[in-house]
Amino acid sequence: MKTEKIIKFIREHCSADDYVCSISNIDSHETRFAQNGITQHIAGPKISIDLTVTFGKKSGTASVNQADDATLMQLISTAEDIAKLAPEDPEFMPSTGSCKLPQVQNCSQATLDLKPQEMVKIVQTSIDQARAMDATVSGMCEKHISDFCLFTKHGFIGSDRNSSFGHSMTLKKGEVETKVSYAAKDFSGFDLKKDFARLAAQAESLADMHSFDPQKIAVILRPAALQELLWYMFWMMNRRQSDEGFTPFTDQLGKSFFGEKFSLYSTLQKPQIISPPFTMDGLPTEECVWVENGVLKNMPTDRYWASKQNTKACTPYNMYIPGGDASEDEMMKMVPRGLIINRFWYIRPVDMKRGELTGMTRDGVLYFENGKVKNAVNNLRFNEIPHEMTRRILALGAEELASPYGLVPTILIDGFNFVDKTNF
Amino acid sequence: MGDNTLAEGLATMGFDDDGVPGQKWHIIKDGILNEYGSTRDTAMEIGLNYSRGCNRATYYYDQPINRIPNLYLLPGTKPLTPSELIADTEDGVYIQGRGSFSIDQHRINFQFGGDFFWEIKNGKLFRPLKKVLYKSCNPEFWNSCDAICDERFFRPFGVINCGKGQPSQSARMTHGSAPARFRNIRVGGSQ
Repeated sequence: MKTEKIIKFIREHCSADDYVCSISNIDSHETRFAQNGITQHIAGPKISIDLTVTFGKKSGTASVNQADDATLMQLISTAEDIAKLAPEDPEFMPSTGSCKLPQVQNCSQATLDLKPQEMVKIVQTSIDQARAMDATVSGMCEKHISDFCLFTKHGFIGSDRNSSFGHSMTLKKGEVETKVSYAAKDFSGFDLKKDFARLAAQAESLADMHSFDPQKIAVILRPAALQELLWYMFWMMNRRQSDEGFTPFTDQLGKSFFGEKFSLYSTLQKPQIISPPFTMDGLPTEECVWVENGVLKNMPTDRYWASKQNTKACTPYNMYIPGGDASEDEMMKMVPRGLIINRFWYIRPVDMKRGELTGMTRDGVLYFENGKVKNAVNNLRFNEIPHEMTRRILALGAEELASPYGLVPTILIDGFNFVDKTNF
Repeated sequence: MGDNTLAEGLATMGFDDDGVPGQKWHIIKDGILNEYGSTRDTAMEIGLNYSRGCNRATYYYDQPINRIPNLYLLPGTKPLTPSELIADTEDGVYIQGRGSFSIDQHRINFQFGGDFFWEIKNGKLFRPLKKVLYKSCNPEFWNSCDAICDERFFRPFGVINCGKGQPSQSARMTHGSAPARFRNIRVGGSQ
């Protein structure tokens, strides 16, 4: 009801030539724990109303966090005052109109029904298990229900409700520190017993950590690691920047630029991951084929650049990478030696034109030889070019949920470029 | 120096979210770790009876947490210009700007780049270099600092999206220094 009231008020009172308004209502429960105790619990709804108005090609944006009439009036007048002072935007695009949106289900009933008492119990069980192994655990148990609505002067209106649940645990025992985290739209997929067992196994392996020097070596990237790396590549796959010559994807559309075993999509067809029904540009979400069997098919394109290039605007709204049927055991037998990587950390661009990234491993790196895990090793820094890396894919495992927005496989890659080692 | 009184500093404030005034103090003094940034909560944990006023939240709905203050390397006390510093360097790389940056979750091991690079040969800028990266760990790096230009060459820079905390928050703070020299740092390309 509150959303309808806000829409009605903006429609009645905003006299600008054009406007786009979003209403975000998030109800969050965030239970933070550290050193085997709960340290804070933040809960409650938050509302944010963001309005961009335009006169001619001059735009201004304002935001408020209350929905009473006086505040909404202030929102409109502030945005309008800013717009009148702003320079003209030569790339301004009028807001979108009414359209048919795809049917999606982004809210899980299990997440919606999850009570704070159950979340505290999850935390308490995590702490009890850490204590039982003479360790401390910290992390956060969180649940979010988000209602989002976007509407425009020209008639677009879309709304979406999504849910997410997350539970992260960092275990510390002596000098050993390691982490496991779960994040998904559906709480029912969460298995604390399984996650804690994995956490304990990582901690146990790290207690016997061997020194390992940086080198080019085969790696098995588990889903969380692969997803982290490829989101950064995804952000560099910008159509405009590529057309203007700033990325490695310049002049590569339609060509076999990736390894033929590699495909990358944003899809509405995988119910495990969140698929917003519309983009922030006010366009209905569609199936997006970015890379298929190694061929670069499309790149994220905003409405302005799409109109200039006479193509369709498209946005990466989730990440789906089709997997294969190789198990980790089989992957370990495909190469003489290698490393299993759980996760990466602090990935950043090194060279945007080459698409080169740097980052570090974390939460347990395992060395394997002759098809078997031998021992854990220290963390390592990599400098690597993800699209070139896809040309060295040797095998793909089953797809797994890596986050609420990512469904990706475990992957075996040859010759991953590690350049430094850490002192832990 | 930790310094939340720095003129035009991004973290400069009259008081923090505990109501403690902004302050200026040595985090490291003459090469020795002197004192942490603190809040009223954390001061008690480390045996202090005062807070350094570092309790900050990003938005009204965030829980205030112990955040980094404006943090900078004090300029050298003896007159020294960048030209004199280069002239005093036989073999090195002069790095301008920050470029790529990445550091581990313990904030120890890092790799940084820059925006422009000169090779220094026999005290002169010899030729520009491309795609230079340097790697080190914090104790090794800061212990290798052997010269800092004077206050005429001090420049404040800053970070406006420093992510920390669970739930995550984004804060801003000034970092600054005058050109400084670090010995025996591993410098090379990305491969």
